[in-house]
Amino acid sequence: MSWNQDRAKSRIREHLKTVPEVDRRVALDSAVLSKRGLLSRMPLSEAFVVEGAHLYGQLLDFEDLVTEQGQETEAAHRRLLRFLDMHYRVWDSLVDGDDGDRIDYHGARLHAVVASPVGDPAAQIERAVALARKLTEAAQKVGEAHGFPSRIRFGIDHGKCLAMTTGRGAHEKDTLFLGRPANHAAKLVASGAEQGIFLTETAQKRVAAEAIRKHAGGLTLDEAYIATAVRKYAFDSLDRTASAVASDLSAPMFRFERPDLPLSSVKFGELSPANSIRMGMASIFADIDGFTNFVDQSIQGGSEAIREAVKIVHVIREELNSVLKEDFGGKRVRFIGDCIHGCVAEGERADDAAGSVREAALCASAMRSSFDLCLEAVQSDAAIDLAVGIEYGPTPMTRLGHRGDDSVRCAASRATVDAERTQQAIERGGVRLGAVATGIADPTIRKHFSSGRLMSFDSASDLLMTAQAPAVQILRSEPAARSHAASPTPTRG
Amino acid sequence: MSLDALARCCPNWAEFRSIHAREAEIDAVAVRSSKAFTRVFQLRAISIGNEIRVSERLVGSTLPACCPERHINPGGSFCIGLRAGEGITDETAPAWWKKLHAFALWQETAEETGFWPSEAQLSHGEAGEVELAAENAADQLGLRAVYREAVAFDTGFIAAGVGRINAKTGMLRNGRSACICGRTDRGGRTLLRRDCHGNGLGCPIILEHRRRAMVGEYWRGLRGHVTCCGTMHECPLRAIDSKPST
Repeated sequence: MSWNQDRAKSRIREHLKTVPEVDRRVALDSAVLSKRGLLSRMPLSEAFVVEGAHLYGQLLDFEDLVTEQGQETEAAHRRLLRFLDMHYRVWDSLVDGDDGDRIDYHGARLHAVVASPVGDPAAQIERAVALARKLTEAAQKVGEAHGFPSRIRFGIDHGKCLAMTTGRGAHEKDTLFLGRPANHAAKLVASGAEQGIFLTETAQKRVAAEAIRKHAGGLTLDEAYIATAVRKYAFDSLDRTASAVASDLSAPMFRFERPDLPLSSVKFGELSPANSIRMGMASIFADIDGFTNFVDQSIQGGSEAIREAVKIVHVIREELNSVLKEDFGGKRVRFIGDCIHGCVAEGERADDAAGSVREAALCASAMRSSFDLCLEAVQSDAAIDLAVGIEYGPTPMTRLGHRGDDSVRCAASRATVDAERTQQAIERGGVRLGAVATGIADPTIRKHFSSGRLMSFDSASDLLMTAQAPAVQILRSEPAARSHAASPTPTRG
Repeated sequence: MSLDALARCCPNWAEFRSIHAREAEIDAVAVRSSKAFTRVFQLRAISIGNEIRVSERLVGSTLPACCPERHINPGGSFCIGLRAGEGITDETAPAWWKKLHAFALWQETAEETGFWPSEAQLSHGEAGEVELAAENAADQLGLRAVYREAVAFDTGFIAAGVGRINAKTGMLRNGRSACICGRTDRGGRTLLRRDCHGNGLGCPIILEHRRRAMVGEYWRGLRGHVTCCGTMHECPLRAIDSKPST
């Protein structure tokens, strides 16, 4: 499989036809909000601006569970998935609430948007704080019962975000929130390893005055404020589910099989704990650098600018997904904000580590070429770029949480964690390989993809001497077609 | 005439227009891996003696006027292959076009990335001949990939072996030890270091050492005569040009 410019252009034309519509009033109507619950069933064809509190939670013990005595064994992955499944069963109880909250999670991270009470930022933050405390207590309860450490760090920001849904099918859909509050809450969580509930500067300004107190030279949430919030917002279903999960000590049996390749043929709808897959894969995190600022400016710019932002992100994300799936046989795990996380794997009978990294590098370059075509197609001068992180390692894929259609797809391993971290270390656009991928990659991949600018597919195809590169085909038929430089005198070449 | 031979087998990615008996114009557009087109290269081919030289019609308009790392000689002529322009006949003209085709494609990659694919080039100047000899010697020993690694990345046991060569004699030190390249005689006994190079195609380690020395000489010969165009990342001229004058 390979990237082709005409095919990409034709796909982009199709993606442009499915751009979600932006309501003329732009902001999600409060009547609609209270009627159907915030975005829990957001239609594919619409995008909204939503104002609310964004709560990010990170399971701090996740990374310690990825390995067992330093090795990513099947047993370690079974334990890791049981750990996530336990938390997802608790978090699932919030998903379909009719209370205006939107909960979403992937890997070790939870993201909730609290948009009620509508139009009252301080109360929205208060409700998010209550939810964070309730989730902390629930995690402790189920963790103690099941024998898992379950510390969570929460970050809260507040503001307007662009919300839209992409993907098709019950197990392939993602609702996304784009803009500063989602981004800043996530960054606040990632910036430390201390358990607790933390507010960004924006959220601190909008929360009730008595909520913040000075402590050890910094600002922290007042315990009395948290206690009042918890009394005010009950989240009964969360308490009930946490008790049920804590008393139900039966854990799903995870059985792994090596999937048939390409990975794109794997359907999350057919996966379950007993029917999970696991093999060595290259994890790819491709992020649109600069998009948060662009979205923020668009939200301030009004409906026309928002429409433009929706169009750009929709077209880019759909096209990056098409490159991953159709051109490189990869499997998208999730869209996360303006980022796509996917995996590619090579090796019919045994894992081909170097081959997987090479395919991931070519895929990243193809994404770069498609990204440029997207910007050309939407005629945008947005200051955005593409940043791609790649890491390799054994990775399980399955579905967790509620049985049936509501279960959550999951790919969790050291490679998925480090691919994202590698991507986040890129300043502006570019490409970077994780430590494992760098170690197993062939020298040409290491030289051109370890860290730096992300080249186009055509150039990558030439430098990596792929079989489909016309110049490589010429070299095969005419081995003397190797450029040279003559001696200063006489001129020969 | 060489130009006539080229005209008779002009491929469909190029247009050949004869200007007079010793000069022709070529417009070339190649198709890259993704089926995207390269830029249009407007070229001039001239016949000098027994040799065809090809360059941009307006030297420096699309490509650098001179860049050894992009295989463009001082004066703007292209080095599309070792002795590629000599004695073109109907038999060799198709190969000349293939070399020009690959050259045009790799120019686009060099333009974007600042790198030329290592497998797709030969060492500059007379070192190119030595590289071919070393490659043949390595090939005979099943060491082609190891040799290419030594040239491209300075890693692997051939590259490590170069470090064990006596700079004065150009031969491996400890001549009575078994040669690092592993060459054996007819009886299957490993040849000694002092005997290996004189046997058959030569020792790839010694040839690689020689190649490196000749490449060094090549760059020293250009010093002060050629200015770096700044488009290639690993060009030795870049380092020379950026050194403060003393």
